[in-house]
Amino acid sequence: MENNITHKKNAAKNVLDYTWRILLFFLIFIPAVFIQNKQLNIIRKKPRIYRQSLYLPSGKNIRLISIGYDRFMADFIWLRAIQAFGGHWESDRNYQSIYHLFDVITDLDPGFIEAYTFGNLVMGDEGGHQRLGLELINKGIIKNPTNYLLPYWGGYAAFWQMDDPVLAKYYYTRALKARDVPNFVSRILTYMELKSGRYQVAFEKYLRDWLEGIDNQDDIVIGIASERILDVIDEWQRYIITQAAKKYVVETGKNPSDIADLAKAGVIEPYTMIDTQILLAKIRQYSAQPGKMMNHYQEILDACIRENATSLPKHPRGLWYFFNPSLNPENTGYVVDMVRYLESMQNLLSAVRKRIWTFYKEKGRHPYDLSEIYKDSFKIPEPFGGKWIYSPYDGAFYSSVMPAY
Amino acid sequence: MSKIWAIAFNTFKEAVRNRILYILLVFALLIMASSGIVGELTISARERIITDLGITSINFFGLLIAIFVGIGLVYNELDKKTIYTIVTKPIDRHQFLIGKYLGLLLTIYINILIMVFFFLAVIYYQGYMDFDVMSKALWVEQANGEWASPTVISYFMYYAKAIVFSLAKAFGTLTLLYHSPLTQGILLVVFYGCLELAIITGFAILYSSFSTPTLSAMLTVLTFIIGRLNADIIVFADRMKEKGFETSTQKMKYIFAWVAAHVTPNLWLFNRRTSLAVDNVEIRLEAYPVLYGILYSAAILYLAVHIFRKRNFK
Repeated sequence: MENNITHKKNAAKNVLDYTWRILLFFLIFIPAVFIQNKQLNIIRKKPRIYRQSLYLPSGKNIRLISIGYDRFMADFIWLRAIQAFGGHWESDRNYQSIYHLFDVITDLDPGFIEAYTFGNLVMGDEGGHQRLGLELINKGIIKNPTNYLLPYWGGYAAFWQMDDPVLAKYYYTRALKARDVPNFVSRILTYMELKSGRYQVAFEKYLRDWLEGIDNQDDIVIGIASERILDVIDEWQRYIITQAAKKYVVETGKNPSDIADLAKAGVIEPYTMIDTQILLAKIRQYSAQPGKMMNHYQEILDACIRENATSLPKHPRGLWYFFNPSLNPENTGYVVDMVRYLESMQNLLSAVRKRIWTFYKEKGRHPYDLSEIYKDSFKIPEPFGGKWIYSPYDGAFYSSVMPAY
Repeated sequence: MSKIWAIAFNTFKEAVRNRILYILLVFALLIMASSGIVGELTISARERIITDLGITSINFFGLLIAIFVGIGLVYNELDKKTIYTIVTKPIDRHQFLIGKYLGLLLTIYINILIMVFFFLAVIYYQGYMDFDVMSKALWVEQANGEWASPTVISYFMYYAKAIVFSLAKAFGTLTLLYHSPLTQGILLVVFYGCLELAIITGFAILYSSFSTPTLSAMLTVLTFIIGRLNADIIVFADRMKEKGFETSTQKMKYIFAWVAAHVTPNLWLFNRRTSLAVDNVEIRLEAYPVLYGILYSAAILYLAVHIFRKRNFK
């Protein structure tokens, strides 16, 4: 009986002892977690800077110290490169420093095709450093001569980003020599013969990237491709409108005052129209169904393309096209959309107001009318169909439609 | 031969009681299980990241087991004087050491087998988690052409099915009843890795037969590094030869490098991990590396036996 009591006492003491030890552990550990929480809050508030990627040794040196685990090291730096890209994407959008990371990755694993293609996407498409992007592609082609994807990407970069059809042809011809080359690559060579070929190449490339991005659930690729495809369509439409405007000038001897003039005059040459609404609807439709998006590639392409269209092109982002009032059809930037149009109108107003102010400083009065500051009188029409209003009393100059500008 | 196997099985039993073994195994399995999460961080190379992480874990933790378990095997017998109970029996010293070696190898290979099984299951499971595969299995087309969203129960059933099928497929792959081109490649990469570990285990036993565990661990790690850099040694020697020998010291250096490149283990020969990523490159079973692995391991073991024979246990 006594033994039993002693045993129970000991057991209770042990439990108490054990509990006390656990409590002591938490007493020491919880302040550490609290300090860490404070540190994490400081880290969170700091802007993410990924400049340390510049201090990474060369791929050859890392390969030496990786003692055979070079593929694993390449994967590790690959994850870092994606984070660095994300960091710059959210902040300064300057990707030049990431090039070194892709260079190191491809040194460590020359067969890492995604590193070349994604590196090119980051450097060329996003960063505007087409030469660096193409350098990566060239490096990949040397190391992987049988792969079609790399020369295909090189051709796209040369044709769309650098507007160099000769170089592009070289890449596409090279891609066609690969064993596993899909049929669509041969189609690209025929696009090159067309006037609007570079738009077609870029459009199909981004559509492919977009669908593959959805299939692989790569949000970054989806984000880039879906934005760029609209840029391509936009640029394509501007090209068509500019060509029509040039034809309008030749036929009528004057600049079109409004974009609708082109349709009325019938100067829009039959062109390949991309119906953005249908494109987006089809992508939404198929992404809500099971199965790979890439399986519907041709269906989407067929649904959204209208051959021999002659109607006015519609802006892919739902905006409107205008003529830049301060330029003529020979200038790039002659066709602008609503956003750029307002910007250009603002620039035009600023330029006129500056002349008025300079005149005032020189003569001590505002000009009686604009012919005093413009030799051949001020001929630029008010873009919204209204009038320019000028007050010689206070030198105010503005549009009757948008007086706030 | 039966005496060797008796010692080998005994060594195996002894090794599986070693806690380090389980810690390493759990770590390896955790890393492989988390490869799916790591794969989420990447863009368009998910399968590759998962494969690499698994293959590297198997190789690296296999190496750690070879080193940490191997270095203490002979030393512990001497330190605890348990060797006296063995050498007094009609067992030759070479039988004892070969038995120890085979026992350790058995331990490593069984661990690798567990890791490979788990790794294959992870790969197959990731295949089931593919959006395309998953949506086809879960989404039901209704009469009006719309797709009905799956219920929580159907998700749960799908996950349960994916786990069971993945485990079954992994078992099928290991028993060579089921395979895909990727898993076949993985099995061959692991096989080459096993040959590499046979050599490293040989070195661990060799060093353990004449030195302390700490020194043995250091020497085994150094041997591993030299073995992995073997190809660089011969490149270094060739460059020296191309430049020409101006002094006798340079010639001596060249001879030393040349001999070192031939004598040190060429572990690069067993590295087939890179080939897994390259398209159109089929990983094949080649006779030369297999023969090299067996002969080199045998030679190292012979050396260990020779040293162990000369050793005084007093």
